[in-house]
Amino acid sequence: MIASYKLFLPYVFHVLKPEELTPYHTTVDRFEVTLYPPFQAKVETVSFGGRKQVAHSLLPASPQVPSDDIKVFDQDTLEVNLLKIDFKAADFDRRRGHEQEDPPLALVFSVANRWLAVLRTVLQSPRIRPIDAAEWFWRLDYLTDAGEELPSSLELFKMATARRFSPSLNILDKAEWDAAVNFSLDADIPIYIPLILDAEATLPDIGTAITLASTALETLIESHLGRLAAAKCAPPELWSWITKRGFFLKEPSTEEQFDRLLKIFSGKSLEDEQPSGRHSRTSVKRGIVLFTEAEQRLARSW
Amino acid sequence: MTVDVAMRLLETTKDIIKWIEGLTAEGDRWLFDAPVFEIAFATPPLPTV
Repeated sequence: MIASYKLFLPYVFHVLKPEELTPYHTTVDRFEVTLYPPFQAKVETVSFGGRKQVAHSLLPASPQVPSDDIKVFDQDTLEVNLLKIDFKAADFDRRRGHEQEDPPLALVFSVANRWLAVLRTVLQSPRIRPIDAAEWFWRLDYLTDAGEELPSSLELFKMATARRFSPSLNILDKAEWDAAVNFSLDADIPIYIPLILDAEATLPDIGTAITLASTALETLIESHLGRLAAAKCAPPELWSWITKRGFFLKEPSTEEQFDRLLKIFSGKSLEDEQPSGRHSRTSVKRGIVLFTEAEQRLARSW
Repeated sequence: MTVDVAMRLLETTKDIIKWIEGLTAEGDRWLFDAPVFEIAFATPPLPTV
């Protein structure tokens, strides 16, 4: 039996001579996996259970129509946005009543994202990003080994879909609007704010997220120490001498900035502070340790 | 490392940012707790046929 997943991509590929691309066969766990060259999706809004659904119609368009909107070597290209991955196994759990995707979504999206990472590297394209099951459309069809539709059954389901279900909504109310107005158009937003927001936005790309968050901490402590030192370091030239040595290994490390220099200029250290509330000093101290460990693990994996 | 662990690490990073911002002048805070809204989604998560 085949579990045929169709994943809608939030970006497009332009395929030159699509007839020359052939499916890639491999094995993952107990499954024979086939990764197809991406398709042009047939996206229709259809009603299901009284509600509008896009994912329900999520299949390769037929026919696949190249366009002259973008030509490569003077040839038409096929704009594609649908990733089709087949998982073949002896059987799948399709029982109604406690519907669970089999193979599980975590495995399917892990395979999809590993393949997208390979394509991203081959194409050297930063615009190809991992996709998240919780935030995009997908459709699952169970088929016979020959790829034919299964008969309908009261006990077993043969198709499942999910619509975009994003917990990352941008909800704007009066309080937020007034806060933005209060910041004003001239708000001088420090660089660590877009860095930490970008870090969150890059998930599920863990390596990029951790690197961006780490850079956010580096720029955070540098800017805040600079301000504390400007008020308390005498003579002021001393701070310039400490931080601008012309060779980065002579300058204070991020750990030294968070630890000794912060203690000198603010009178507070992560070591002596007592826990208080949700954002306790203990969690901050623990966070620094976690970061150091995470970066070391990432460095080894690269 | 899993995505869940990475998300917790990002939350801790935000805690660090808020704490450091609290050490310097009041009124210059750029990171705060996101507003909490009660959100309801209309569609069941796994429609099947």
